[in-house]
Amino acid sequence: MPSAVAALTPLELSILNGGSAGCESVRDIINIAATAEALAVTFLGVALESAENGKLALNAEHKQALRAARAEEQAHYLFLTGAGARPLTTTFTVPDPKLVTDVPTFLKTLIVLEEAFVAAYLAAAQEFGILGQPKLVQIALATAAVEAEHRVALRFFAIEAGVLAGLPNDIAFEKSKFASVGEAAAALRELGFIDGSGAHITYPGPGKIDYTGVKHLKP
Amino acid sequence: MNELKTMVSAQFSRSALLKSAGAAGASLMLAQMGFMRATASAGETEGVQEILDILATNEAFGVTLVGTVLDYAMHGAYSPAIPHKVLKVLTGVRAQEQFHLDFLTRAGGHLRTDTFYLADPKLLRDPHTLFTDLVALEDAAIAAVMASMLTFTRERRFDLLKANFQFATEEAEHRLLANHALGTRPANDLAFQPALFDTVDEFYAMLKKKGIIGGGLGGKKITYPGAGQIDPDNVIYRTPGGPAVACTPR
Repeated sequence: MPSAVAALTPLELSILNGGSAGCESVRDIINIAATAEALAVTFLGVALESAENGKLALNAEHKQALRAARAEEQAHYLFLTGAGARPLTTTFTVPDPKLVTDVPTFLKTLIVLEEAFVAAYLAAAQEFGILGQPKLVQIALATAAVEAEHRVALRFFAIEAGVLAGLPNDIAFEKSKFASVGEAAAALRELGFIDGSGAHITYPGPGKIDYTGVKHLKP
Repeated sequence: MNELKTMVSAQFSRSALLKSAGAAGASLMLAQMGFMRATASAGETEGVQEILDILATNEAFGVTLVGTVLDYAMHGAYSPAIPHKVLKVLTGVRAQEQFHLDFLTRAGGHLRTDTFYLADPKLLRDPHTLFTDLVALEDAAIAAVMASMLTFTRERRFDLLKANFQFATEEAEHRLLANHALGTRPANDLAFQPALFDTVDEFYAMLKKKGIIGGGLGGKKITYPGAGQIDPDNVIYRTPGGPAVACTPR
């Protein structure tokens, strides 16, 4: 392997692979997806701990929904890693300390993240289709549907809290944002959650993962 | 498991890795995870046109059902009354189903029928029945699109794969909100959306069995688009835009 390529981080390699005309491999795709799921598990764990410590003013319903969401992201992560995925990193960065102390910042940022996750699985599904893997397309959809549920739940909470206006269900089609899964990984980096300058957090984050009320833990 | 790990982690041959990861490796991954629900023939004979027609018909049902529900709610039919903020959500849902129908008809879908039947009268007076049924209907609608992916992939209709993915995931938002209105806590109670059907035709058969299509169980007849104006205010992203993946298998 050329030394310049060998010097790149796994994330940078993924971004390069996604930028070329060739499809990303199944392996690359699930590695990035596992990375995103690990981020979600970790960040939600940190946020929930902050809420339990009285630093993030989430109410009981918010916390219940977020505990379930964390369990669902963990189920996604376990499925992907059980299939051989290896996350590009399990250490993340919190780009803004207000993310775990200020409810509006927290909710709005998490909505952006969930939209990115839906869009990442949309890109993955298209690549799986091009690669002739319809079952993987179905799994991507089964997963993304849950991420969309997270999105609308967060919007519901944000509207109730006066942080956002309008309908929680404000779109007729989930947004397509990426032409490759590597672009999704790059987006997480741009948002400051990977290789950023903020505080480091490590998978799975604090606190036990609570599966209460969550079903269909496998596709 | 050892064989799977060997295939996925092989580094000695890039082409072998990509071929295995793209084909046999993926199959092993799926078998390992028990996600080989469909038989080899499932979806093989189901065509794009058939799928578009069924999905369009279902969206028309959604528009009509929600229009009827809103009309009944505004006339005080539900006990207890459906809260105003939930009616606003349903207004958005109806518009979104119409935008899905618009896409499917632009893509060539035709309605198999514009007339539907509601066999259970409680659907139009009891919120618990209504929201229980809405959750189930959304689960089924998402699963129908999941089934459609077999054909779209086989026929290399990646445009339809993308757009249907985009509206099916939006249907999951409807599911969550209906589950919340039902009182389920947490309302986000699934880690993976269930795959209920091997084919889209199975989904259509379910609609017929429930009497929604064909009226086999009797009940109130409703006709598309249902009562009242469709109100698209507050709804954005009305078409499945955004970047599409355009890559070549290596």
